[in-house]
Amino acid sequence: MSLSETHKRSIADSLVRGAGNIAERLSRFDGHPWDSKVQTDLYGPEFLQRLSAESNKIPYWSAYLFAQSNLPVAVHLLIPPKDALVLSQVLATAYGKGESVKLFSPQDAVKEFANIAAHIFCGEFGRLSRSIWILSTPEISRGERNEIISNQWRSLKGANIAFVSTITNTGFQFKMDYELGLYASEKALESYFPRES
Amino acid sequence: MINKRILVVEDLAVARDFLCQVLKSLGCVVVATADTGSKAIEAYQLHKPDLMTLDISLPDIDGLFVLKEIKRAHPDSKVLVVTANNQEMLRKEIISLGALGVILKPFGVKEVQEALQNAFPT
Repeated sequence: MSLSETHKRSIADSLVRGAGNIAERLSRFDGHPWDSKVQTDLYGPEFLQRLSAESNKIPYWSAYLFAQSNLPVAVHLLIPPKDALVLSQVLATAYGKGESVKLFSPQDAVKEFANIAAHIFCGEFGRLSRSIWILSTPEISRGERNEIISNQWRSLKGANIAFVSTITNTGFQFKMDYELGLYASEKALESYFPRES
Repeated sequence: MINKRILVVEDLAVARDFLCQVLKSLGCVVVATADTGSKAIEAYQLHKPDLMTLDISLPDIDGLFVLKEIKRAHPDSKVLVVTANNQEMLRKEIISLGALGVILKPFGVKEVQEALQNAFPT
């Protein structure tokens, strides 16, 4: 069984809406409006082959959160090192308001941001599928994009579909690029959308 | 000033430190912190706080399970759930399990203050 085109489109739309909501929450962080530009691509089982052809040596920060059900579904955030540093500054500004400025390591910043961003997307997907999703805490790692994604994709038994959003958030002082992905098996995703009789 | 004894349950150290800082600035005493669900249940038994703030995503057991356990053992307990997920269905589930409300991440002093004032009306 495969996921219908309508459902695929709805999931892609929920990633776009999620990215918009993340920008809105970033506004709360630093008190200025943030804009978001999103491009979402859908990949099938050829995703791994496509990744293996990639030769991007940038050591990305990665946060991986899996659904706390037994279904193979996971949310993944990838952020380039320079954007992780921007994120550290955004969080230090937000969490330092009125108090001593708290310094954030890129690792902590990615962990905190991924936790927020993934749960915002989770809310969007939950609304779409009329279900409640609880995600694991973020697992943080660092490395080349293709290696990180390949390992995570393989660890998610049965994964055969990937929705990948490339997001640019622009604020008053900061600009930040990152990638938000949903990896899953189509069968698992379909179980969230029962067929209408 | 809201002079209450609080247990903070949050696995991310930076978020936990920030929440503790905010609570202290509002006059609260953080009696303990916990970074897992099982430690949260133990800490609640030990300290019997006036209120617990509870993150939903924890490394061992999810926050909703912790909430159920705490409310089962201590029906009068006051719990505020902390999450970035603003889904209405989740909020209803949290309230139906007995929590007082939700503090949406990212939050500032104002959001925490409002939630505490609702929890302890004067």
